[in-house]
Amino acid sequence: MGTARNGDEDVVIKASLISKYFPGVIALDNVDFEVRKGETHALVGENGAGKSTLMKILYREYSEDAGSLYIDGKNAKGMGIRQVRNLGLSLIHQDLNLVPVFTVAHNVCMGLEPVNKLGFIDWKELKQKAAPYLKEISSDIDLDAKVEELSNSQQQLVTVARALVAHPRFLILDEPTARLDQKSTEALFDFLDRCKEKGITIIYISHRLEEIYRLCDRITVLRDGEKVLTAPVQELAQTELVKHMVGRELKQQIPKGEASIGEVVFSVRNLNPMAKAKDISFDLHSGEILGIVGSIGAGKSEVARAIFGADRKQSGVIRMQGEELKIRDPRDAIDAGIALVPEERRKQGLVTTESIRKNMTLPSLGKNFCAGGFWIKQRKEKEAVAKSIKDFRLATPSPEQEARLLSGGTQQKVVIGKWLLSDSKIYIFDEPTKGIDVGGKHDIYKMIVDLAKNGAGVIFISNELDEVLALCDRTLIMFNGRLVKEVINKDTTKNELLFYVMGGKDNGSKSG
Amino acid sequence: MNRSSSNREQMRTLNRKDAIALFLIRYAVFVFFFFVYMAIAIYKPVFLSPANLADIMLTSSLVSFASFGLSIVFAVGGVDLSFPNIAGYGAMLSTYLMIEVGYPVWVGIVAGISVGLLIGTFNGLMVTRLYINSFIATLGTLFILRGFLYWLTGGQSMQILPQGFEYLGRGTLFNIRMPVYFMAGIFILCYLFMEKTRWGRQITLVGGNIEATRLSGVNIKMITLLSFMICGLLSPLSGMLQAASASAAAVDIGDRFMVPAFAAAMMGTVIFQGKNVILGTLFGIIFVESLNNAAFILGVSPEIRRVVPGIVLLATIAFNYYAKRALSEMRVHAY
Repeated sequence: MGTARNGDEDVVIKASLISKYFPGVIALDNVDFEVRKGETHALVGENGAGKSTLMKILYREYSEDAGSLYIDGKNAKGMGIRQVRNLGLSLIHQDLNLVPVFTVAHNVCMGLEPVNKLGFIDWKELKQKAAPYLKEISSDIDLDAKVEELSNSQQQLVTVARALVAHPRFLILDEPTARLDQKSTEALFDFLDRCKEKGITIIYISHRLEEIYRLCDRITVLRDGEKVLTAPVQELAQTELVKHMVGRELKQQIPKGEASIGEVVFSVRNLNPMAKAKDISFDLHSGEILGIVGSIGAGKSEVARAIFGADRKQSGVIRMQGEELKIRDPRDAIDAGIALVPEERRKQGLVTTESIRKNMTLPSLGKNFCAGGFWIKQRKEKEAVAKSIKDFRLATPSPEQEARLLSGGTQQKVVIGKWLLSDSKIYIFDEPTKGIDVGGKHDIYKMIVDLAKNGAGVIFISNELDEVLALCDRTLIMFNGRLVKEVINKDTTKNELLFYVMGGKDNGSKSG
Repeated sequence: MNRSSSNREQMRTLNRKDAIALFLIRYAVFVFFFFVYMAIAIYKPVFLSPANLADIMLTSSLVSFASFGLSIVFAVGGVDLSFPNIAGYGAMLSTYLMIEVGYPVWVGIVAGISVGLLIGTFNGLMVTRLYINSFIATLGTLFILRGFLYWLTGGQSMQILPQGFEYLGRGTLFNIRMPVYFMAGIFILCYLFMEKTRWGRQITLVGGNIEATRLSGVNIKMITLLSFMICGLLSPLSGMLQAASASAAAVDIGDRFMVPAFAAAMMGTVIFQGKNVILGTLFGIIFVESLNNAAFILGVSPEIRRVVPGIVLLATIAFNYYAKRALSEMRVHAY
């Protein structure tokens, strides 16, 4: 127990020269990875860099093809998930694997339900058992609520509570804040601080620089299956870190030239979607990138979906170049030249089992790629898609590659590309960079900037204030279903945005 | 871009072992059937005789129309359980009009197709307007149609069909029976429709992800309705051809090909992992019918022979499940 047969006393997880191959791909190439006792260790890298593979090897979901792994001084070779769990390792997945129709308490104690004498679940004891774990992470989630009634953020917090039941000594978090709103993120950070005080070792995978610098002690950067470096976080400047991750210099986070903003092309008046948002009015100019920010549940997506006709709306007038549009479903919106890049790219943006080609030409098939609206012009279609693949530098071996096999960034480019082929005039992006690596984000920003440069009007909805601040010309802030503030980006700061996002009022103090 | 090129450097070409594994997974159905055919042919050489192959093609062709229609409904993500009875209506109505009323053959055929189209439209409207799950909706249609059919006909069958009509089922051209030509024709039409036209493409994509397709501006209700209408239009042709080749139309005429058509369409959907369903279905039809034929040649009793399509169906689905998993682990695109 605890005898450090490998290296210094402090190292509790030691992976040496780990390699993992999949047919055609080297997922990990001689990677060394060491975690010290009690530290919070950030693991970063672009999608496909090997983070997930490495974590799955730690958690014994995969076994390594070469190399050795010691957890707490024990050789992990041949161990399964159950054994590493017994060693105190807990993994909090990015995916919510909760049972929606069960209560919060039941989900927290899943698999460890206390039973009464007759062998039935003892619900009262179950609740008592779950309560302290949930309390660790959140004070405002009802133990009796069904998981499906909770917000996304709250559901994610429940998964954290569930991981605590095993009393982990090592906690792996895979992008835990991707689904969290600002408030829940703070709750999670407070919780992680307390974990640290208790001496729990944390491995933290994240795409958000801010969090890494806020939470972590040391950092390991992976790139293309190789380890680039491990260093104390404090000794690594953010620009350096990003540079190591992408392997090329990012001059600016977002390459935005001088915007040439024209007339009002699109306006929304007193829009009332069926749920959440109320009385939304705004104008959009040609060449403008208009940001909409707000925490999760503020109603941003509802506004986008109501404009696009994806959901019905109660009332509201939408005008394109002064002309009122009758939008009853997405077809009407698309005919008018409106495009929506939806929030869930796999569920709403792509037919993942189909090829890039078929996805890309889907909205414009009848309009641009069919003779008489019926026979598909195969050659024209292939040429257009090949051109898009080249123009957007899609990382794919072929236009016939199925969308599900592409990386998140490439998938999103396909979704954007399909609207470009459809000659849209107004583009609505709903969280387009969610879960996408730094390089992919960069490319998507560039596509959006180019769209605006060519005179399109862009609505950019996001939770990430930094990107909105850097990318947009003007930003609307939503709180609790209403537009509460409009700011010109060059005259504002992140603090100001955050203040309004968190519900601050103009006449109140801005110290929040 | 740096990243994609560096990724590409990382991609090693598949080694020979992987390539063989990949080939076997993708084409396992064909490899399997190759060996089955060989085994049967060695044991009973008559299996591969021209006369027997012609027989397989004939039975295949009778099933093919319903099977293609069904595979188009599968492609859109639905199911039509009522197709055997649509076929029954088509056959009974057309023969009734020809024999009892004395209308010309073409009127009978047009009427048979029309009634199928009508029922298909009814199915499609239940699914798209009343939001009834297609399994439930068409099961309901199946029961209703069956009841009405027995009531209308009193369970009687139609015999002594007009010669012109019989020719369609029994006539030959260059020693090949007419239905085989019809199968070839309908195969080409369906194939072109699904692979080369906008509606066909949209049917496949609606089946792949209905929400993403809706958000891309596709009229998903029209497309879904359309595929049920096509199935309704094609099913009676199977019924009528069956009647024409057997010189009789019975109330339960559709039941003979319910299971083979269903198995073939299901197989067609999975053979190429959801792509190219019409070609897949053609293979499916021939596979199912030739196994049935082989069972006959091998002297398997008719009762046991009825089991064959079911086994084929389950085996293909199970195979597809494993192939998909294996392919996705190998991260290679599937076709």
